[in-house]
Amino acid sequence: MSKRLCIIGLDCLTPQFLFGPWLAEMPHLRGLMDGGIHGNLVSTIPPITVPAWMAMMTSQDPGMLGIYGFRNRASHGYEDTFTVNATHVKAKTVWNHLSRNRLRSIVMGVPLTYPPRPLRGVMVCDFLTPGKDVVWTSPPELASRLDDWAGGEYIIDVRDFRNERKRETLDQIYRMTNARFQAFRRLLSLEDWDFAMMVEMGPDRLHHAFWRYADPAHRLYRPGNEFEDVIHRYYVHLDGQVGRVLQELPKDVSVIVVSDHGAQAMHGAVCINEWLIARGLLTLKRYPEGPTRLKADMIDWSRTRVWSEGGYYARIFLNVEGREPDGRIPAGELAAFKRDLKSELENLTDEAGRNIGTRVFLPEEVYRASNGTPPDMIVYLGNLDWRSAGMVGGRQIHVFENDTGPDDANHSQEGIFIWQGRGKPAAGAADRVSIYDVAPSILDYFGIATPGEMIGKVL
Amino acid sequence: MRGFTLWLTGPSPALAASVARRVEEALLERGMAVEFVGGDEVRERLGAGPGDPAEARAACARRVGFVCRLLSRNGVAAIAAEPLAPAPLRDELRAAIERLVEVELRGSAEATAGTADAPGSGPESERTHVVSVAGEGGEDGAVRAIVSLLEALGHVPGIGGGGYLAEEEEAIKARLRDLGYI
Repeated sequence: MSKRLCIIGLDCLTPQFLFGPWLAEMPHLRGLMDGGIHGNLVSTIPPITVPAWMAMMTSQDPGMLGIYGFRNRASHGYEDTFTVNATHVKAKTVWNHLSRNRLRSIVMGVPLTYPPRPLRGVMVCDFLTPGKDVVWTSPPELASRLDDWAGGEYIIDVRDFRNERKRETLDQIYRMTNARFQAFRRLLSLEDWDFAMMVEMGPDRLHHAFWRYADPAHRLYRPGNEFEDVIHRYYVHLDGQVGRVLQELPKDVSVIVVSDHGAQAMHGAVCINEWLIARGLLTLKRYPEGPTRLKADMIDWSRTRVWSEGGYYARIFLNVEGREPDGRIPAGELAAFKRDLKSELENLTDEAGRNIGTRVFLPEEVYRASNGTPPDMIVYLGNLDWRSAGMVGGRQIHVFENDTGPDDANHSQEGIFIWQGRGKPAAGAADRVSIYDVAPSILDYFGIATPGEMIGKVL
Repeated sequence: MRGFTLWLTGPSPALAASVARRVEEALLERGMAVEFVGGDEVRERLGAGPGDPAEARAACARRVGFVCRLLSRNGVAAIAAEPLAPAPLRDELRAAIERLVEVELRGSAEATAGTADAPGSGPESERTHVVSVAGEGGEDGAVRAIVSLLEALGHVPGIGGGGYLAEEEEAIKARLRDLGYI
């Protein structure tokens, strides 16, 4: 009898909540754990939706993929950057390999699948789809049925996320989650499939919007607040959604529940470019009068050696002679410069002068290849307790409101992994699973040998 | 898509079969119904044919062609990698199989590595496209060239759009900022 595998991807679902005290209220997920292996999933460096899901589905690291985040440099030109999409993914995904082996897939909402590529099966693209007026499914005609299958409206992503209208945001998250699970269940029942995978973005949106209300360790937590139980209740709700999917599946279908990274409290943001300005490493043509997003044309490149971009982690770029158009760090001094800068970053302090435990990664040290144009450094400010704010003009290095609006959580390095039905020899707690082990293990489940370009191992 | 038959020839039957298998995988990856009709399997299952080697080869090619014709007229992309000599045999198969695409693999610099000659001059049913497996591109380049040729001929769907339009990218960047990713 042919094997079938269903993956429920829950972006940002975090182990301290899933594997913590709430588990007793999540019978479906607990049942999956009892029927197979589970543990923390060690994500990519950096632990961000892009590149993490695609690294999981190709078993290649961000350097091999040449995809270091949502925004990448196309060359060493200062303004030559691009937003990644599926056309930049050159590595073969799990469903590419399954198609080659005549197996059919349902792929729904997996980040970095827009624009859709033909496959043996069907694809609904991810939250990076520009809108429903483009071709965002394969086959294209599938799109016209999704709203109906979703019970009214298939929601690509939460809109107007940065606001204080929390009830409205919460309602959107629930509607999105319910609609996408409902559409997935319809696909499972209507399509002929061997492999089915959905990724729901709701947990990520919820953590960023509501963490401060739920985590007593968060600086802004207030006991008894009206949203205190929001994350808890959403996890229990997700368990119910997982249970409804399980009801659609024959008993012999194996099930994976996985997240791409976890979440943790965000203490604040480090204005990394202000920090560079304060050290004389970055010089602006004119210092702005108020907080402003840094753009390349604001920088005096002749007096700049380092600049950075914001996000949940910091990407550091060096202005190197002979590499950048107006490079200022002599190539012969690059290694020493990097060493010194790394040390300075690792000594970054909070507003009270306490070391925040920043970690600095060099692409050439953490990846097997550095395809494309990687950042020179990947920086976890306070080991991701702090985010990176790219703005300048605020005249301060530490800020406690995000530069883009309210945000309570940052990503953490470890997500979750559950595999029910993998078999008795591997049953029990898996402790830690590498994100790179997922794709070769899926292929192995279908009897397909691990392709040479995959770096993970079979679980 | 309508079915068609891709027929590969070349100096090495093993090389042609290897390229055929890889083209088959590339088309499968795009969700197409594809079958490689291998001469060895046809000989094994449908008979080895006459004792004379040349006649046996011709008989095998006819049988492969027959299977390809049945498959392609039922919407399948059929792929063969058998010698097409002598000339009357080639003409016979050209007449028998609708939507036949002949590709001759060459190991020399006579054809540009990794490219196929462009379709368009003369009836497709009377053409033999030349693809090189020499040089840096090697087999990879040949497979890419053949798939591109099949796309140009309208037998294989393209792999979709080229990413974001400028205004779409700006909208996506704004959303990513809103979400805190950048």
